[in-house]
Amino acid sequence: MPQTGGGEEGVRTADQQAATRRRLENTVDMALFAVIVFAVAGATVFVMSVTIGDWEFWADWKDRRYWPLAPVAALLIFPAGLAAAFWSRFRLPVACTAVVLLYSLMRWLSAYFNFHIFGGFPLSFVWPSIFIPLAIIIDCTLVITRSVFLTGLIGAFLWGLLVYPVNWPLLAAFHEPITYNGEMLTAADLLGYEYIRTGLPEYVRVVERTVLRTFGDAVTPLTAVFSGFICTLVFYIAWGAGLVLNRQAWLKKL
Amino acid sequence: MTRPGCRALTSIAGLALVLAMLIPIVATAHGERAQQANTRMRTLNWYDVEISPAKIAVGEDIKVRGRFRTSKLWPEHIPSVEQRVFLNVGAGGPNFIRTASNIDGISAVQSTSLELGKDYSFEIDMKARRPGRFHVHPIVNVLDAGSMVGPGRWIEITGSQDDFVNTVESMFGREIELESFHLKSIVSWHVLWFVIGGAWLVYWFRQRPLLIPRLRAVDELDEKGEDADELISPTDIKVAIVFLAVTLLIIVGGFAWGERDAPITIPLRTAKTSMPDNKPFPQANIDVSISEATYRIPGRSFRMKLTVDNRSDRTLRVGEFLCANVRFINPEVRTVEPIDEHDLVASHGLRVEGGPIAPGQVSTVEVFAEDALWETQRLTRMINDPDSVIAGLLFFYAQDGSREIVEVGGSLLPIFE
Repeated sequence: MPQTGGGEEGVRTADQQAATRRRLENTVDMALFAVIVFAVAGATVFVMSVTIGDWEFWADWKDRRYWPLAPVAALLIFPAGLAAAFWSRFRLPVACTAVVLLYSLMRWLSAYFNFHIFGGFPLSFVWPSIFIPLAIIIDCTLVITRSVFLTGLIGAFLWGLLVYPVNWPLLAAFHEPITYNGEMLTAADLLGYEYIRTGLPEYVRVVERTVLRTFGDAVTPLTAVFSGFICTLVFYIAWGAGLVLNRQAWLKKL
Repeated sequence: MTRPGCRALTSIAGLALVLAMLIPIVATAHGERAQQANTRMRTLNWYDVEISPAKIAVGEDIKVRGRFRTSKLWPEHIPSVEQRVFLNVGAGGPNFIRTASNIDGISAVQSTSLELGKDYSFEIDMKARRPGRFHVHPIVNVLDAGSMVGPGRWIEITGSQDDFVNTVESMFGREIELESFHLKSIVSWHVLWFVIGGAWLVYWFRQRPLLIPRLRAVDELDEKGEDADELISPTDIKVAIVFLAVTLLIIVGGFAWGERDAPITIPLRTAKTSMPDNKPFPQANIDVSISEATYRIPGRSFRMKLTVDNRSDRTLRVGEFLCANVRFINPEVRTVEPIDEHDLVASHGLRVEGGPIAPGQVSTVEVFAEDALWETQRLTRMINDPDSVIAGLLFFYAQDGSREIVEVGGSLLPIFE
């Protein structure tokens, strides 16, 4: 009898241990994921804001030449780097989507609280671009191909190529022509002119200024393809950096 | 430090922080005096600036107009208006909307370039948008040099922002309310992608715990020399294919929807407005040259010795010296009072020795500009400038009220005792 009782007690202990382990692992899951993703998303928001933020903040900066190129390439750095860590350590294809989703959420919070409530600008002047589907494409490509090379070649290329079509349903109406005081403007230009930005004069906008004019007026497709190439390159570099920074040696040094 | 000492210090710091947050502090200026003294003196000299009316309701119009002269003594180390400039307004944010603006009657929607030593008129039409009290300045933004700020006026806006509407019509008849244009569509598309992105994350995070078991599994497979990609199941691949297909379909559909919504679009405008060539320099029937300029620091007294050649047919007297938006007025010639508490007018700030200058006469005149505004507007900091040159506009008045405006400038010698 004592032996049986001892056995049941032993089984209960093993169950309890397993439950404790699961609880611990769940906690680690939550903590690790939150820390990594929020830290990286926060860093992404900060870096984007201080580097190429204006293309993201203002409707009258979303042009055909720089907006589908500079912000898109810059935004890819952190998701690709974190994707390397999540793929090599966990075989989880979620980093791009998670970072971009949180980045988009923070950009909305910034647009609403900083620019709309505090700054007083209409939300339709400071709306964030859509990047989430581009991140989903990269993550899905990674799962389907299980190849970093192909993910960079296809997924990252599509990330750069498709940013304009992804945002076109939002942006198109802002590029409809308006006659205003005898001049032709877009609705986006008019927003920029009417809603006063003392420290951001018209000439500061880096829009429509490149020499990519070889293919007639096919500016947007040309920029999109170029953006695709650049994003492929950025993806490989960021992935490599992610692998290097992901080594345990760094933690040991700390 | 002892523990009670630490506690006391922490309590005081905490109390100070709370009080700082609770006691509202009204910002009464926005950096007008922050610019280098010579940048304010020797770039744009603003005059005859009117900003009216001083009190309006939301939706009502206000006009900012006046003139500025681009200085011939523009500092060598500051990029000038000859590159690119934009006529702007400082109004503490989009508390107004700008409905029209022009320089010399030419639309200033786009940026332009100007010439040095010339006189320009400007007008900015605005509409009140948000209630409050705001300090409004005309501004000329100069590429690579920053904002050249004109004189400011306090404007009070009454009413409610909810009453403000800003509707325009596109060339194809679409009515555009700029305050909320396309917002429903923007939010809807974002929500859709948040849902799809969230669904992708939910699919992968449905298994719990996730990270540690997968980390362990990857490590084990690596140690065995097997392919860790085995952790990706056929179902995972099928789900990824579905997500990819749906994503691409929505992108294509969205693009087609956008094309149908706005079939004819144009790129953002970046044209630079051209001002007419060969605009004449401002004419004056008087020549003025500075032979000596000193600033006595203890007395806040600026003195300049001028040689004046009056080529006009009227007797002229120095009535005003305008320097860095500060107006030093000779009370014997003019009566000018500040419009509000931040109007930079020294009503009795100008004293002239040498008397009126008769027609055809060449005489030496000493002008004293003396007021605390030299100090409060931080103009005495010009002794820190790399070239210590002063400049401003001198206004000569005739008996009939007509005037001659001349820019004067030259090296300044500070007197420290």
